[in-house]
Amino acid sequence: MEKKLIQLEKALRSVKKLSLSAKTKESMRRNLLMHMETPISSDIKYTSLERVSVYIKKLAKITEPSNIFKAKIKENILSTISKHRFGYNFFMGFGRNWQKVFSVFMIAVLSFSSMVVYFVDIPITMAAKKTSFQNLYGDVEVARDGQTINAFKTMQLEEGDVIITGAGGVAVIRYFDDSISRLYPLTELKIQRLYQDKDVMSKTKVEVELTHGHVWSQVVNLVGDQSSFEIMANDVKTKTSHKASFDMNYVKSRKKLSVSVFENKVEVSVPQKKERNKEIVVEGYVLNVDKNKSKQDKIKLKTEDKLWVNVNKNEDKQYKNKVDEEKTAESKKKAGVLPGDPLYPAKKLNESTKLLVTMDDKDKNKLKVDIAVKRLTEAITLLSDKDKDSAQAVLDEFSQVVDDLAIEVKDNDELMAYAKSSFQDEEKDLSIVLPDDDKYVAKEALRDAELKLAITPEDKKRTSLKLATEKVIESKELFQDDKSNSGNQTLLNATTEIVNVSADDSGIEDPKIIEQKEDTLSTIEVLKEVVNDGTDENPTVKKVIGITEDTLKESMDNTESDQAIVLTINDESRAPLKEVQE
Amino acid sequence: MDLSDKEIEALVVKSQNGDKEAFAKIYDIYVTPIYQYIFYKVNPNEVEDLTEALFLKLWKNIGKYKKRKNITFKSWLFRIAHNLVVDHYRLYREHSSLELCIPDTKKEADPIKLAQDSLNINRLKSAISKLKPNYQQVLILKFINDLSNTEISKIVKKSEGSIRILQFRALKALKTELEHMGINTYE
Repeated sequence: MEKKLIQLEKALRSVKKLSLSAKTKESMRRNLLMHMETPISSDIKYTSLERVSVYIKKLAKITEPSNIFKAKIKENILSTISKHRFGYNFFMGFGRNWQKVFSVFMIAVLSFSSMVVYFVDIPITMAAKKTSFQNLYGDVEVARDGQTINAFKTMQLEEGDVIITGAGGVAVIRYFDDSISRLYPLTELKIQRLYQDKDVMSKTKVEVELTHGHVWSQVVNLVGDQSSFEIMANDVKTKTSHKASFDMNYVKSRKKLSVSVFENKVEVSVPQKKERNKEIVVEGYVLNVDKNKSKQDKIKLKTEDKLWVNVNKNEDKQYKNKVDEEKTAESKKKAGVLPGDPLYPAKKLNESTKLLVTMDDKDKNKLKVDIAVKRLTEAITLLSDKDKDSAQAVLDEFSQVVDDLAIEVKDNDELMAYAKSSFQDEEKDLSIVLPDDDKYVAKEALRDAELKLAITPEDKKRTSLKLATEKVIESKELFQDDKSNSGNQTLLNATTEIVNVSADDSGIEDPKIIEQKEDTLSTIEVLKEVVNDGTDENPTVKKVIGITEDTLKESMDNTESDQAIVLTINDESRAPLKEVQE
Repeated sequence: MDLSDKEIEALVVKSQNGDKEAFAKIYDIYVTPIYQYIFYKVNPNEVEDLTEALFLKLWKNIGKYKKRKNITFKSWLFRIAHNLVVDHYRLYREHSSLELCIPDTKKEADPIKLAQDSLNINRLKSAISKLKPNYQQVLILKFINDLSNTEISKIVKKSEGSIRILQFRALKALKTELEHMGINTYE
């Protein structure tokens, strides 16, 4: 026995020692040094999928310079100032007369600054947004122009870039349109297109290709008909033009793709022979594509996927709050001086003076649009500061300006386009705001403006339906946040409008209105799923949804248009929905 | 990087004063042995995470280390590693399972082939994982991390005599386990 144990000892000592590659060592070293700057929670989970949460949780906290770094900067600045003591040395050079010189200097400065308000309009130019990494962890590389480089946090991404995450790598990409993609380890994503209209900033298109791997995407505030966010995988296109969160998993070796939707809906088009079959996948459903055959099912999470999903849902919530805060801060900057500020009358005087001196009607009307937008941003800032009374006064002024514009735009396409694009930019910033937020009043005022600027009956109808559909999404979010009172009220407003529009059956329907109705129906589908998954506390809500849906479908059936397109939610390929219970 | 105990202690003092470069050197010295230690204790895909967590914990707690006669920095570090792994198992017992890709080690497979199969990292890990925690501990520290019985005794807080007995019993248990797996380590 002893001999055998001695031999075992020898065998143990001769087992090849595990070694760490230089790359892994260096990668861990980098991460360690990064995290030494920022405190993290010691409550860290380490099972295989929970590792991802560690990455993402760590990443979420590393969003600004550490306190040590900030203090160092402050120290450097203060020491530089105290070294030079500029002001003191300058005035002391005048000897005994320094006090007189200083007084004259201050008078000159004060006079100049008071006159500046009247004559100088300093427009606040918001820096053009970029697509870049919001966060990185572990092994992440970017392939560009035939070269592969290690990714770093401030790195700006361009069309053609391929982002590659290693075995321990996670990357969070923030696109210029405020959408986000979170790449799981061993994923490759190519940026195909990053488009932004130069005149209408809120008109954007992001197109990426998932070569292989797993990516979660969150779209928070796309507005307008022509903005979109699209991911292609194996010739299957997943697209959304509104808020949505969805997870795509593509196994290249087996050519298997799954698209799981966790918020709202997406449109997936699968190539089939010479055509593309379009399917709407709503919240709570997964579309599995295998060799161009697709099938929808209710999402059933495996244990190893639950963490990835929960972490991303949590990150989605935090990201929405972050975007909301950023937009509020941007509005504050854009608004400038506010009512109540001593300089506000000067600001208004400046605006009136400009209107007076502008001779060209075209420029004058554009100025009116700019002034309206200014009022709106002031209102948003006042509402976020809880000053509802001042905000209401400013919103009343906004409405008055819009009323004037509504008359001017009737025969003026250029002005109409300018007004719509200006308001659409603001709509994007308010997209995240829900009815229980103080800023919602501003969002409603903007919606009213949109309706006022809709000239033709078809335009009015389509706009009404679009705005009502947005309210359906808002009500869904409120129900999901357990705010059923607000949810009920919002839903009631929305469905009343939808029923009114549907009842206004003018026979031949505009194709754009039909398209909007389809969108509304599929949005109602999303709401139904959410409400049905909840408890039976909302029988009235279910009834209301049922009536609205029926009225809308009926109005579509009655349409005589040759271009009527029947909605395909592809019921045959999906598990049946629960029955609406009365 | 082979540094004397004195040089390592000097790095520790500098790290305690916030010197990140000194700490990075400590990392360079100990990352491989710590990685090796943790490798034999947890799932392969948890090793890197736990290793990083350990060094981060070390950074946060390095101020607590005091040079004493009976405990070296190395022993103190491995003690932290031991506690971290214990905490990890305590929290995630139901999720932890050693998933290893090892060849079929059932005796029903070709016994000659199996008998001729040598001991490698994966097989050793599989065998060790089936032993009692205190047996695992002493085998890994002794034969993977090449620590002396004196160092091991400080880490596990047992006398050197107890460590010798534990080592004997652990080797016997490992031998039995390896035989069960069909792995022959002796002529």
